[in-house]
Amino acid sequence: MPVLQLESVSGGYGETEILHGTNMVVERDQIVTIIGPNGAGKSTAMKAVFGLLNLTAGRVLLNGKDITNTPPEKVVSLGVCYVPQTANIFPNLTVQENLEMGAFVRRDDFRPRLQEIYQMFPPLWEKRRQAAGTLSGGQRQMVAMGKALMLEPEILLLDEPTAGLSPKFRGEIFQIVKDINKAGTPILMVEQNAKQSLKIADRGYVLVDGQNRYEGTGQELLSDPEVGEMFLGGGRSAAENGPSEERSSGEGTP
Amino acid sequence: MDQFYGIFLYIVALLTMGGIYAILTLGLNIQWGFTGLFNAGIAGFLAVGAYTSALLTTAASERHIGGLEAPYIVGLGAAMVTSGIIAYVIGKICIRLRSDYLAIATIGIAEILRLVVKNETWATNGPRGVSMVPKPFETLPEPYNQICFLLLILATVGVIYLLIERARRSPWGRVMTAIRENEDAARAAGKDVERLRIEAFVIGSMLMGLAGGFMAHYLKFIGPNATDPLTSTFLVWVMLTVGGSANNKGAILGAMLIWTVWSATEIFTSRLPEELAIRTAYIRIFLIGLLLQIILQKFSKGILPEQRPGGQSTAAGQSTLAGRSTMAGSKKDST
Amino acid sequence: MIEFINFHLIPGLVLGSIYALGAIGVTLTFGILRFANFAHGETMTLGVYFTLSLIILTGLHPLVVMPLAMALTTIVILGVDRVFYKPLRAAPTVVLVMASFGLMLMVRSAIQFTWGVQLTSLSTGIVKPYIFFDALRISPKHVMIIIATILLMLVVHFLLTRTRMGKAMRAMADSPELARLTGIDTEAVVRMTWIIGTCLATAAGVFLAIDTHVETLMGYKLLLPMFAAAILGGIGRPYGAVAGGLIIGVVEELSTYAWIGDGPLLNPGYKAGVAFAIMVVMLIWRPSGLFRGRVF
Repeated sequence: MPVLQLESVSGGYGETEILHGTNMVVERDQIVTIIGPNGAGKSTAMKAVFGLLNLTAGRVLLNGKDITNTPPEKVVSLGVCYVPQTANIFPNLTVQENLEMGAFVRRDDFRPRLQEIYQMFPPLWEKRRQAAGTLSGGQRQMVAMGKALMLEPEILLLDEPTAGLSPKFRGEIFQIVKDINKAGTPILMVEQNAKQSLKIADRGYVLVDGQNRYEGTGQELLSDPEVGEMFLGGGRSAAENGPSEERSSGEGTP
Repeated sequence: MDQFYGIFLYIVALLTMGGIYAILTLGLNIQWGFTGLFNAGIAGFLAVGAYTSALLTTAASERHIGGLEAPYIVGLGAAMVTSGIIAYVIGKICIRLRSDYLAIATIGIAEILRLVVKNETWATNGPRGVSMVPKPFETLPEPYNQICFLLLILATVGVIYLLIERARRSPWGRVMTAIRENEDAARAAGKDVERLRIEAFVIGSMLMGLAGGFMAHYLKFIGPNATDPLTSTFLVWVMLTVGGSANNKGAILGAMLIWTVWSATEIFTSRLPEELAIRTAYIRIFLIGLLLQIILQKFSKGILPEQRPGGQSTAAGQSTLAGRSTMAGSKKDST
Repeated sequence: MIEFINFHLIPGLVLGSIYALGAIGVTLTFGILRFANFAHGETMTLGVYFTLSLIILTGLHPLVVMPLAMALTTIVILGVDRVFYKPLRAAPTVVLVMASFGLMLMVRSAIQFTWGVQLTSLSTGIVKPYIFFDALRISPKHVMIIIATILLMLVVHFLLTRTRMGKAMRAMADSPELARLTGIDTEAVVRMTWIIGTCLATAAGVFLAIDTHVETLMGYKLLLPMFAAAILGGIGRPYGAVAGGLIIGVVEELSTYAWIGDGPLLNPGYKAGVAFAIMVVMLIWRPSGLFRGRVF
């Protein structure tokens, strides 16, 4: 049974519908990445899981259980953790307090888990008493992920974890994502750096206009010439060019 | 016959005060209804207007400054100017911040003005106030003096109403609506949002000053506690929200309606035994507060909902509050 | 000089302590529930009148019955939150400001209806001041107020930095959206905010009543200094509110000292204006306050 499943989900904010029947499956131990052009509904798909938007059709299943339209605070307690792209830490709380807040819904002793997180992110241990807002971009991202991991979640949702980071930090974050996954947490992430993220992904979805356009293993998508041309900036950076866009919109659903 | 005459005079008095409150409510409607600015110091602007006009138009007295025996038009004009200047200064400081700060600053300025009036005895005769304020038409025989004064007030309300309605339909009014609905878009379109907000705040406060002037002339007296500052501020707020925020007809209707309820209940409570009368006066305030809460929660549109310039009634229903949420929201994000 | 300390500095610190306790509630509500609570002064008054009634019933010392008065006031305020603020949680904050403005008058008129408006006092008799070094005179009630304030502030510090709910409160003051995404029980945080704010307001009110007297407008008169203290310290910053409260209290008292010539520098009638002046200066110069709070 997959950990997470989106079954032809439609919905959006208020009146505007952004997702039109999106399907997605995250299996246990997988890294799944969602790529696609701007405004395709990548982050929205993730928010759909987290109960942040009103779904008009379809279902979201967590371990086979229907969690469609469950409010976010409830979704957290079910073991889904979400790291937003921006404003994902409490800047005036110390690093340690941020991590403790990540464990807010836990009523058991989470100190062992705290130690594990510090082992996973050694820089955070040194700065545990420092206000999180004073950290560098990469370290803030570590705090955000560490905070989410405090729950030992069933699945971790990452919204563009490498946005705004320098190439050096980007690599570091992707490595961390891989490590988290190896330690047993399935991951669903949205990424702008499509190539790099597909390299570590077990499965990828290409989302266009709120619908699945392509899907496959990370390798498959990387080697697919069409995907490469349109979304990975491969070949002649065709992604920005008019003709390919026309073609893609003419194709309809796969 | 005497009884009818009494009732007639009562109705004239009711409409006169209701009309003065309508001017206040129209002023608040420009600030809150059309622009989304929270003024918690209405009583302060009222007092500024009242003192300015009273001091300029009274006969000379040793008890206070002024006493120029100026014509009413000068007194009332000066009332508007002084209120406008104070509003401009507050606006300049607070309008770039969220509306809470403006609310705090306006309630503060109202308190400070009260302190000034109380302490500067040489200028304002302190707590004893300024009496013998002249009243237009007072030389006419009863009841014509009362009726003429009422007509003056009603004519003023009418003129103000027409002017605001015109402004609302003008490009200026449409920009105001645009700002309230989507501040960022208005900014992007090159509108000087700050300046327009200050303009609205100043114009609204000038109307409040004018109403204050009329009140001083009507009551022939103004003192620091002539009206409980908070109650009068609050009454105007209730009037606007009941009548329908962002609707000028609603503002006038609300003022008349709430003033009638307010003074009618006073007649009732004042007939009770003294001890009970004092206590029930507090129940009156409590109930009017409760009324506001019910309106905020259940009937946020008021009796007459907002009408869009150009458009017929719209989906404006939600917009009275929801429109403001975009403003509050966008401000929140820009921290 | 000693006169300066006895009649200006110490009363300033006492007044500042009272402002500080009240301002913590204002700043927490502003930071966590995101609106300027105009009814906070009335919360204070309500606490004082509960204390007054309990003293009449039991004949005990104000500080002994104060915890019970805190509990009663908290019950009322939690009820107010449930009935009047909770339905407006999703509404724009300015609607909440208006609701609190309405509640200010409702709570006050309810107090005036129940207890009447005559001036009374909590304590009886005059107690001789402690005299140190033959000249430094401190009245016992001032000593008591300052010590109690320090103790309460330590409790608040402990709550905010050591307890799960306290940290969650600070988290929510930082970012309510993220708090929700993190799974923090935001309604529980809101309740905790009211509880702390109300208890401190009650304490502030009772201290003021011990120092001066009991009247129905006492809380409202503190509203402006409390807002000023919260803005001076930085919105959402409890320690800022404490610093802001102390500064404003001391400056208010010092403003009437005869710095130049024989008369007071500022007509005592304008003392209340000092807080306002400080607030206006802060809004122009640095709206984020001394402790870099939020600016909305």
